[in-house]
Amino acid sequence: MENNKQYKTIDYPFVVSEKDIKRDVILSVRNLAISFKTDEGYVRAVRGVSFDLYRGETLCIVGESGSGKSVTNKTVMGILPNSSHIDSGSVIYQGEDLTKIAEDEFHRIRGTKIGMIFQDPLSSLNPIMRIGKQITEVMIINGNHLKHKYDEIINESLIKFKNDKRLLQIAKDELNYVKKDSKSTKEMISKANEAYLKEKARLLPIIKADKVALNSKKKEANLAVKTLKKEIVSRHKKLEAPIVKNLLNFKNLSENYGDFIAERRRYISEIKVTNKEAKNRALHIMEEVGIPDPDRRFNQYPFEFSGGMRQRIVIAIALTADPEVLICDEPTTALDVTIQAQILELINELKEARHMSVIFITHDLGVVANMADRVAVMYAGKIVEYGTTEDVFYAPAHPYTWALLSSIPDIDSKERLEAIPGTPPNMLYPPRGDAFALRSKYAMKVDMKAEPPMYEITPTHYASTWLLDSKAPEAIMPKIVSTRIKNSLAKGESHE
Amino acid sequence: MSNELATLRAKEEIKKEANEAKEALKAFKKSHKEALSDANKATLKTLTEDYNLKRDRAISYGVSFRQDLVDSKTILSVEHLKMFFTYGGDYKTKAVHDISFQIKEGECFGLVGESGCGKTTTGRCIMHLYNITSGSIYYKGYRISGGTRWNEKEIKWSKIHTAEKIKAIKEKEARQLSSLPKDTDLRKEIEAAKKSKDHEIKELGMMSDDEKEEAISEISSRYDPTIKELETLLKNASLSESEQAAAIKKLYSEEIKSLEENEKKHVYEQKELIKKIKYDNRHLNRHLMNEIQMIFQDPVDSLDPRMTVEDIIQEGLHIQHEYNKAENHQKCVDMLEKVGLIPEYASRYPHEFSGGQRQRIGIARALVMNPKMLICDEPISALDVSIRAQILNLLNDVKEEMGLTIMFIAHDLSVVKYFCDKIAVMYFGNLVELASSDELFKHPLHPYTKALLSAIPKPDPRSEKHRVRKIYNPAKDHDYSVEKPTFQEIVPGHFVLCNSVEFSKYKEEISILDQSRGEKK
Repeated sequence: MENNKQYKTIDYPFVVSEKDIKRDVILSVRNLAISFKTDEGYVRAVRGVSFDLYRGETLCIVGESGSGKSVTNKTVMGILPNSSHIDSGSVIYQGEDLTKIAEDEFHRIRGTKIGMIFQDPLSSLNPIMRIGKQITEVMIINGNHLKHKYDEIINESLIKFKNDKRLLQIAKDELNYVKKDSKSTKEMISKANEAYLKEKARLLPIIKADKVALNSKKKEANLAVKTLKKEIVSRHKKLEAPIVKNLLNFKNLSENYGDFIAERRRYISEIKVTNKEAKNRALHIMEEVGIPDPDRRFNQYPFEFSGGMRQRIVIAIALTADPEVLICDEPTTALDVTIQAQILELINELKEARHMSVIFITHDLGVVANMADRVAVMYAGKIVEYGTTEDVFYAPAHPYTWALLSSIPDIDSKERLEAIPGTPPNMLYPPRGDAFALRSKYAMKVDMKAEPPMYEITPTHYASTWLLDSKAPEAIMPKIVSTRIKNSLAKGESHE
Repeated sequence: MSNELATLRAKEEIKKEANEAKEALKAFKKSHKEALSDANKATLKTLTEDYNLKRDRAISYGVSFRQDLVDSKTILSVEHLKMFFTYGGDYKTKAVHDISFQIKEGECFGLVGESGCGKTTTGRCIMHLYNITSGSIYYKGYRISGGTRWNEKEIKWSKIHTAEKIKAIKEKEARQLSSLPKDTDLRKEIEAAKKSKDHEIKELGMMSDDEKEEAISEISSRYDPTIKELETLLKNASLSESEQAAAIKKLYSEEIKSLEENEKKHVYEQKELIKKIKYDNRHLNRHLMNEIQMIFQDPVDSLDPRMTVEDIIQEGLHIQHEYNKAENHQKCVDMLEKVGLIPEYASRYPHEFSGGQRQRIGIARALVMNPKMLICDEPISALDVSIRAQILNLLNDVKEEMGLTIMFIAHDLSVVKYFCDKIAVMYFGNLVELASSDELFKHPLHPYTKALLSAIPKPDPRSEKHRVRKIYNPAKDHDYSVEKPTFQEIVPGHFVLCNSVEFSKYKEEISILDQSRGEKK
C-alpha cells in the first residue's frame, strides 16, 4: 500500500540565505510564532509561519476565522495588542526585522511603506470626523519634504548595511541552533563554529565598508538638506524683502498684506505639505478609487456613505502614503457580491498601476482564485499548503484544502456539499500532531503523534501532511473536488 | 337583521365544532397517556390536525379567506406588496414597490438581490413585523396582513377625477348655451328702427302743431309695421330659446348626477374594503402566525447575551403561554439534538459558542414553535466557509424531516441555486425576474440577473482570468420612455419585468441560447 512519492522535506525554521535576498523578495516572514496571554493560559495563535512576498505579486492567505491569518498580518503592521507575545521568528522588510524595532522606528514604515485595509469599513473610520480630514491626516503628519530628501539619499546604503548585518546574525543563529540541539555531536558543533567564523571573516570587512559608505552618505544627505534649506530661506528672504518694504509704507495695506501671506505660504509649502496640497492630492486619490463627485464627498461624514463607498475611502486612506506593500484584511467580507466584485477589480487595477505587492486575507476561495498569484492555506496557526494558484486549485495536496474546496456550493453543480465536521481546535491546548487530523477522513496514527514536516511537491508547491510521506498509503482526493477540477480544466482549455 | 343573525349562528356552529374537536383530542390524550402505538400516533396526528384546522377557522371567522389558494396548495401568496417608510415629512423610502409572488407548500423559494434592494423588508413584512403600506399577504388562504394605501389613494383619485369630469361637463354646457341662436340681433334691429324714427321726428324743425302731427303719423306709419313685425318675431324666438336651454340643462344635470352616484358607489366600495382590511389586521390569528418563523443573519446579535440557551429556545413557548416546565425542557432538548448540539449545552450562555453553533441555536429557537414555514434571512453570510456547508446541510435535513416550506433570502446566487427550487431576483424594490432555479441559470434574461451572475467569483483560477463582469445600468439598458414595463411570462414559469419590445427580444434570446446549447451537445 505504500506509494512511491519521494518528496523532499524542508526543515523549520527557514533561514534567509543570501540567495533569498538577491531574489526580488520584498517581505519575508520566517518561523513566526505568536501567543496571547489570557486568564486560562497562552493561546498559541500562530505557530511557525514562513512565507515570502515577491515584488508585484498578490499573496492570498486563506483560512477559517481563528486560524491566525489576521494575527500574522497585524505583526507585519506592528499593531498587535498588548496581551500578545512574539515567541519566535522574524518579519524582514528592507533588511530590518520588524518584530524587533522600536515603535518610533515603526512610524517610518507603518502606513508609508506598508498600508493596510481593514475588514469592517464602518468601524475602521472615525464616525465624527469628516472624510476629507481622515484622508489628509496622514499626508500632513508625514509631510516633511526635507526629511524625505534625507531618507531618500541614505536609504539604499542603509538597507545594504542592515542586510549584511543580518547575514551575520543569521550565521550566528545557525550556530546557536546547532549548539542548542541535543542531537548534534561535538564534531558538528565545531564544524558549525568553523563555518560561522569563516562567514564572519568574510562579512566583517563588508560591514565595515558598508558603515563607512553609510556614514559618508549621511554626511552627504545632511549637507544636501542644509543647502536646500539655505536655498529656500534665501529665496524666501529675497522675495519677502520688497513686500515687507511695501507693507511698512502703509499704502494699500490689505493688498500688500495679502501678498505677504501668499509668500509666506509658498515658503511653507516648500518645506512641508500644506493643507491645500493635501486636499488636492486627496481629491485626486478619491477620484482614482472611484468615488464620484469628490469635491462634495470630501466634506461628508462616514455615515453618509454606503458600504462599498466606505471601503473605497479606507482604500484611499491606505493609498495616500503610496505604500509598497498593501495588506488587505478581508476587505470584502462585509459587502455583497456586486460591490465585492467592484472592490476586487479596484484593488487589482491599483496594484497594476502602482506596482504594489498585496497580501490578501480572505476565507472565500472564489475571491482567492480571482486575486491570487500565490496562495497560503492556514489552519490552526500554521501554513498547511503553499503554492501558486494553479498548484493549489488544480493539484491540491492537503486534506484541509480538499475539504475547503468541497464545502463551497458551485454554480455548475447541485450535489450535496461535503461539510467539514467539527470545529477548529482550541489553541489554548494546541494538538500534538496534525491539527486537522481530528476533522479529517484521511487521518493516520502518526497524525496524532507528530507534526508533519513541509514537503516540497514542486519547487513552487509545498504541503504539510503525512499523506505525502513515502510510507503513507495512497490517498485520493474526494470525488466532488476531482470532478470539479476536471471540469474547470476542460473549460479552461476551451477558453485558450 | 336576518343576515347578521345567520352569520352569528354560523360562527357559533364553527366554534362548537372546534370545541368538540378539542374535547376529542383531550379525551384521546387522556386515554392513551402512556404507550403510543404507531396506529395511535397516526390518529393523534389526524385529530390534532383536525382540531388545528377547526380552531383556525373559528378564530379567523370573518377574515378574508380564499379557497382557491388552499386548493392550489399555495401556502403563501404575496399580492402587490408595497412597503414605504416615511420620515416625518413627505419624504419616503419605497423599500418594496409592488411585488407579487406565490410559494407552494414544501417549496424552497429564494429571494436574491444586492443590499438595500428590499429583500429583508419583504421577509419582515411577511413576519408581520411591519404594518404594510399596501397590498395583501395570504397565508394558507387567510389574509394575515393588508395595507390600505392603495384604497385610500383610489378614493382620493376618484373624487378628483369626478370633480374634473363635472367641471368639464359644466364648461361644455355653458358653451352649448352660448352657441344657441341669439335674439340680440332682432333687438338691435328694433332699437335701430326706433332710434331712426326718433331721429327723424327730432329733425322735423319748426312747424305748426298740425303739420307736425301729420309728419309724425307719416313717419310712424312708415316705421311701425316693421317694428311690430320684429317684436312678434322676438317674442317667438325667446320662447323657443328658453325651452332649448332647459332641455340642455336637464340632460347635463342627469349626467352629473350619474357621475356623482358612481363616485359615491366607488368610494363606498373602497371604504368597505378598507374596513375589511382593518378588520383582518385586527383579527390576526396568532396560531397561524406562529407557523411562520424566522432565522436571522447575525448569530451574534440575534441572541440575548444574558439568557441561557434554554431560556432563548423556550422564550417563544412562554410567549404562547406554554408553561409546563417538564414539557418545555423536553422540547428544548429535542430541538438541540435535532440541530446537532448536545443537550448539556442548554445551561450555557451564547458567548460560549462559535458562530456556527450560535446559528444552530437560532435555528433551534425557530423550530421549537413547530413552524410550517421558515424565513431564512441570510443565515450563512456571516459564517465561515467551512461552517456554511454544515448549516446548509442542516437546513436541508430539517426541511425534509419536518416538511418545511423555506423562503431563503441571500445575496449570493450560488448558494441560492444550491438550495432553492424557485428564485426571484429583486432590484430596488421590484421583482425583475422569477423562475425555477434551473431555468434561471439556463436562461438568465434580465440584465441585472446577468450582472449578478457575472459577479460571483468561482474557485477556478483559469475561468476567473477570463471572467468579464457585466455592469447593470438601468438608464442605459432599458428604454422605458415609450412604454412602462410590466411583469410578463416569457416561457411557462419564467417571469421577467419588461415591456413589449423587450418581451420579443427576450423570447429570441431564449431560442438562440437553446440552439447554441443543442449544437454543443
